Amino acid sequence: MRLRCEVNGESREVDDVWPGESLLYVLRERMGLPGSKNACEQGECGSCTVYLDGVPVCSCLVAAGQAEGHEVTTVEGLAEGEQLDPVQQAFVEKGAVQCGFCTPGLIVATHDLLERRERPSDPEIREALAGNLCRCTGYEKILDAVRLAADRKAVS
Amino acid sequence: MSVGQPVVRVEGRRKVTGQARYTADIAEDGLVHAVSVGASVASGRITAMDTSAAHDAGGVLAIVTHHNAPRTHPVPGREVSGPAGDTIPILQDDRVYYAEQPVAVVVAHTLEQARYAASLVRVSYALEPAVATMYQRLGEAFESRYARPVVVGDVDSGFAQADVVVETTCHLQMQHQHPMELIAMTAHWSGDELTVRASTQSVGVLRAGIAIAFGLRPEQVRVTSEFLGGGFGGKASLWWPTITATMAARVTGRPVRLVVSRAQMVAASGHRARSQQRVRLGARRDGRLTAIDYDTITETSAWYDTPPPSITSITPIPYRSPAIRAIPRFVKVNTQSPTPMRSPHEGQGLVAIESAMDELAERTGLDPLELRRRNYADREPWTGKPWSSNGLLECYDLGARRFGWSRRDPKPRSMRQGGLLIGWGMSTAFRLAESRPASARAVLHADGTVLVQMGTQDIGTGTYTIIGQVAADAVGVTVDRVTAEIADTDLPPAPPSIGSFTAQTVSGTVTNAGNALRDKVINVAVADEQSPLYGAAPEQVIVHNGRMRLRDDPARGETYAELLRRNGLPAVDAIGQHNPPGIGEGTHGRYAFGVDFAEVRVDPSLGTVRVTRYVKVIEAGKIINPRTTRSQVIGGVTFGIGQALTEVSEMDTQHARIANASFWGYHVPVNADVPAIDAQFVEVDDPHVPQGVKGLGELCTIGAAPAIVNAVAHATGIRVRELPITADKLLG
Repeated sequence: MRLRCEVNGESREVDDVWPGESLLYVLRERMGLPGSKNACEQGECGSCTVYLDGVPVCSCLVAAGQAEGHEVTTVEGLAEGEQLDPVQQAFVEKGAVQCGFCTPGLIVATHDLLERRERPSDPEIREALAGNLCRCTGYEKILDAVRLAADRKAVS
Repeated sequence: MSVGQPVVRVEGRRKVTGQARYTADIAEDGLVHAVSVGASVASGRITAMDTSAAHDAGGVLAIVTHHNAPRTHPVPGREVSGPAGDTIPILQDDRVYYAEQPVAVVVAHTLEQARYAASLVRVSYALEPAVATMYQRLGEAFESRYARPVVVGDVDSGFAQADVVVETTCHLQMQHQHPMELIAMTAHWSGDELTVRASTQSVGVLRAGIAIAFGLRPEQVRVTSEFLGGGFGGKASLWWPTITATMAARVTGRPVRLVVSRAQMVAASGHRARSQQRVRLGARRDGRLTAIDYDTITETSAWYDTPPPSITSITPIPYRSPAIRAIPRFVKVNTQSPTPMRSPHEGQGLVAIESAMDELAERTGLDPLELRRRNYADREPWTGKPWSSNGLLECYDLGARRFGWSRRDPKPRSMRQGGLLIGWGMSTAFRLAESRPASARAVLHADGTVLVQMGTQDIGTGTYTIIGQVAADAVGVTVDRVTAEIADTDLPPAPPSIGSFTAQTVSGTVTNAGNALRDKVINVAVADEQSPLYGAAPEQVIVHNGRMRLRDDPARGETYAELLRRNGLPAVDAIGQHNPPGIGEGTHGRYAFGVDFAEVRVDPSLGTVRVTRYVKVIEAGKIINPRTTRSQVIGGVTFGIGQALTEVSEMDTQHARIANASFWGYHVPVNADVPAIDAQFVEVDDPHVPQGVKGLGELCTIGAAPAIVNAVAHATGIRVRELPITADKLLG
């Protein structure tokens, strides 16, 4: 099929898409957006999290055809030019990144949390990020980053 | 000084914006996709293969099987400088040694086409009996020339002098590294030259292994790995994905990408081997050890006699004892070969040793920490060599204070809150602190920036960042002026990123390269008639912020950039070598030390265990970067929580297949499983390791599992001897 959707604010159109392939595959292999990561391909790890019409989803579980005519935002679409989103900035500063493979999914999931909750409590953060596995950091610095990003967004 | 500062991770920005490119992220013109077909049995012979339906599926370019695969040479595990990986011939004959061993590789234009075609490959087998676990063959346990026993003193007379003898046997299950990044390879031939992008902890090991397997000279093979999504030991060796991707590229003449699935990860590289560990401790009434007897049986794979780095091939005994006997034995099973998983040796062995120490504390009526202090080893216990440095006692003091250990009621089940049982446990942690030979090139450009090139890897811990820090200090520039190029066999060679080697190896090598570069440029300056430093003695010149000046006359000097520009030099470079003693060689025992204190809360009606408080203190010499290191330690403890409480690869004992090869079945710790972890450092000066840096990548994890085992025993009165501690082991 020819797939048309809006990705990171741009209209995109790709041909020869098999409707059953995943949105993750389309983004990575057909649109040159490999920021979203494939680590389990069955919705267990959260590394491929993107926004679909403003709702965070595991893009490995979304069929390409389901994205037709919809809006997608990936980790590549969160910074404004050189200006990092406060969530991205906080992850760098707080040491919440190690190997970085789970990071794109965590950035999107955290971004979504802070859109919904200005000052999430620690249990709310843990709940919101429960679907994002990380094998390197042990999560504590991720919590620090979320709190820092929340503080900065609340002030700005 | 940049070393010691909490410098922000240099590649962090690329990682949070999705711009860091991992192996499977990199597109190439003409790239096609390979999918491996794994054996559905664990032992036997292939009797027939039908690939016709797969060939007829759309988009298929090639199907590689043992009938048509390029012939390869055997790769002996010990001939490449890394832990043994796949040493069986891949796709060379009809033998199957373990489930999911590759029997075919399907190459197609798209990944979906390759996957579908792979599902159509039909294979028939003549089944042979498979050994699923060592418990089916304990009577066949054998000693290996690769893992020699350790014998110090006379154990029998040690036990004869003992007032108290404790004996315990622990069982550790099979566990998998499961790094977030799936193992990925892209192989690209051009003529007889091969380039492999790899998710690997060792570009050098891969190059050496590929060259042997395919009959190439090492110079014909280039391996790169710019970003790596974790490894934990599972990506350190030559495993079949490298071989099969290379074959697929050879057969199709196209660049081929092969990414294994999460389900295949349990067979695409090694794992932490199942082990049985029997410990006997003899001690005087005052707790002082008289004898340690330590027998282990560890699983190894069915086809070769190179066992995994065994628990006792590096002795996991941090205590003084006049008599020590440690004998490792092995049983062959039908699994992929085991390999180190953060961490082998002490990381597995201390579970049993420290569990036995706590039993000894109970028997002697001593506080567990006091018992360990009394048995502090002021020399390396199995050689008698002095330590290069040892801050263990300071770690004990600081950790106990921060944890509040003195308030512990020694009686099991005595501490409660609400309906929960509270337990406090601790463990000594220690790990060899070594580095391996390496070299690096440091390049000063005319704009005053510095490039460091070194064939090491960044497994996520921060190698890019610490190279910048070490180089900045050696060359005399600020850290923001330095960039690093790593993980490429075209660069000066460095060891695998294993064994906690990297920080110390980088410190030694990059310091030497940076010093050589600085000296070379100073020599240009003092010989340059137009330089303010002309005629000065080189040793009187110091460099700060990229400006050379006389030590005693700060006004007399110039910047690197001024000198290079005036002389028309686009760049100056220098090589630095690092040649440390071999592992365990040299005049001193080189180790890093630490202590773990854990609090758990156990629900006695459900058997659930939660870690609720944690203190870890580490003495690893000089800490290069407290920001990246603290994060590393917290993550390492979390890895140990998984080892203790949640992680097990469940073996189907009937068919010798792993039954839970996914994140839904293999439980890595998640956000809510992990408490706030108080990670602290004791810094000591160590003149016997480069720049005083010991390394701690594995020490982070070592000690966590035994501390939790001991905390659970304190909480419940039940000493669990089989990891992980799942609810069933605390009920009934």
